[in-house]
Amino acid sequence: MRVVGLERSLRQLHMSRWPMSSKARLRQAEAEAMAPIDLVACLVSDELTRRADRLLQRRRKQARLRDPDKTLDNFDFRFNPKMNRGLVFDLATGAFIAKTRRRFVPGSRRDRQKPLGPSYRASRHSGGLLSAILRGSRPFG
Amino acid sequence: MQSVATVPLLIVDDFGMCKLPHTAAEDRPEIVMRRYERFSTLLTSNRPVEDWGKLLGDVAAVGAMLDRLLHHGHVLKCGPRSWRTKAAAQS
Repeated sequence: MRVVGLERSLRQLHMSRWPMSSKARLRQAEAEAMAPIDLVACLVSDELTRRADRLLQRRRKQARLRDPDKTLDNFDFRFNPKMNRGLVFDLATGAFIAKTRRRFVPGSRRDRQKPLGPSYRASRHSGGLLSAILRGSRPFG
Repeated sequence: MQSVATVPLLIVDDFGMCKLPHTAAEDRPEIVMRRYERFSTLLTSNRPVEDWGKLLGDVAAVGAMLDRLLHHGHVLKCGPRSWRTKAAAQS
């Protein structure tokens, strides 16, 4: 299959952005005499990275943050030096969300402390992070 | 109630800033209890924890709610100075 035909097929698969990286990867494969399986691995990895970036962008847009460009990197901790900087960075990883969910296995209350169950894994893979941001008086106030 | 009780991360911003409805003393602790050890809850407030009982009008219910919130929770104190005053001083 020629590149033009490949691009058309990729569009059908909703992967129209793929050729952009694949052309560079094809050149790299030729230059480095890359094994076919390594080339496929590189292409799949590129696609996964691209999808993860897009997902993050989409979620940032959905969150409608007031200052989307503000990050912890440029946060002035010196203004309030007593603030627990380590805890801020620790919580910013969001690891606590997964930790809590690890404790929860859908089912009866009695089953809560069981290790990871298949239903938990399924829910983890099928759903993204869903957050409810409640402001003002609805419903917490 | 069901969706609020089961989202993986519930963020409650500025808890206690607005006047709370009369059902607050029942539904707030209820949500926290349903989420306890199952899902994460992030709560911000500029009201001291000691005032929450008065705020919701039920000291016992707030006590039970705080007990669950703080069991595996982290408390991050921001301040005492406000970053807004810093921005105002700079401009």
